[in-house]
Amino acid sequence: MECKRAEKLILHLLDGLLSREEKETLNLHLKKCPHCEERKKQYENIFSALKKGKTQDLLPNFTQRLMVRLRKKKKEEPLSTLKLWSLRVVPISLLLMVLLVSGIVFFLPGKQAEMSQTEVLLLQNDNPLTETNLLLEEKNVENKNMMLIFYTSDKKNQERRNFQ
Amino acid sequence: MEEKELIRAALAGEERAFSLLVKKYEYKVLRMVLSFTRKPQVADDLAQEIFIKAYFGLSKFRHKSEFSTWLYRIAVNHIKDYLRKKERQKEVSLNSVREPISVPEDKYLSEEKEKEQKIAQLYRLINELPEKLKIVLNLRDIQGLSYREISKILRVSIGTVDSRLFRARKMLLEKYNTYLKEKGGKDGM
Repeated sequence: MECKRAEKLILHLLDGLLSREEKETLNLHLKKCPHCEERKKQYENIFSALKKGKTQDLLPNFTQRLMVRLRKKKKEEPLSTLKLWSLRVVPISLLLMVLLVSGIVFFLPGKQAEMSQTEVLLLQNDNPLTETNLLLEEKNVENKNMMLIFYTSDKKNQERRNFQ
Repeated sequence: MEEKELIRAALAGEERAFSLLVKKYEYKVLRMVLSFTRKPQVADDLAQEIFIKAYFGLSKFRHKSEFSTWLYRIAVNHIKDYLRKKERQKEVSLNSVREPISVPEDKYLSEEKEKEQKIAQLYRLINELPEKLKIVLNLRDIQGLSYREISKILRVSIGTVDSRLFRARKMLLEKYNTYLKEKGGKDGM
């Protein structure tokens, strides 16, 4: 076994992570290798020193002092949250306004333009000149007048006439 | 009261419940911080900040891990921030200054005192290690946490914990041997 591998096993041994087989392999190596045996002792010394390490004197009444500090912080906290919110609310509301206005400008459907009678007839695949021709071809003045009255009594035409 | 109930009560605004949680963990957290700073006043302040962070973050605790793991994670992150800030400010910590190599004035320094000195030196040497190694060594060899707990706290694999720990311990031993050589003494701990 190489010493590097042995060093890893020494550390695992001290952590209590070695299987019986690994322990046996390591012990065989340690019997033959004084360098690794010495290394093992050094690690053991360090670990026990760190465990023994005296914790320096702690300041008294930790919890009480903490709770006082916490109460103070809690009083400050809503204010700071409010500040944070106000900082966020301004740009967000501005952005929403811009989106709303642009939405109104671009996406609101405009008033649909009213179609003329000719356009309506063309859409219905009718000849828009049929009525006009009939009117022009009529020789009888009385009938012609009646026809005129009849055509112009149409609601849409009426509106158009008033508008003009 | 059980820990879960204490957490629930603390979340509901019961100060006493939170203070009981603090009481349960204050020593562990303080011990951890102290091993990084070795200055009781600074450690006390940092530990208080850690508990305050825990209090305001309690609603984010989802019981997916142990409360202690969650608290240790906050502590480790807070200590990391502190160490980085300290590094940025280029504060030369007393801990990072190698003890001058000199023969002690009192030649008859008691064995006990010498042991204490060596332990203090070990802590100084730990603080000279790179941040990642220092933290993992602290959690394992000073706090006595298991590999699994450390992997959960640091959110790394157990293999990573193992390799970092190996490097940290090896580096510490080499530094310590150099110190002993310079001091011309033996390891008598």
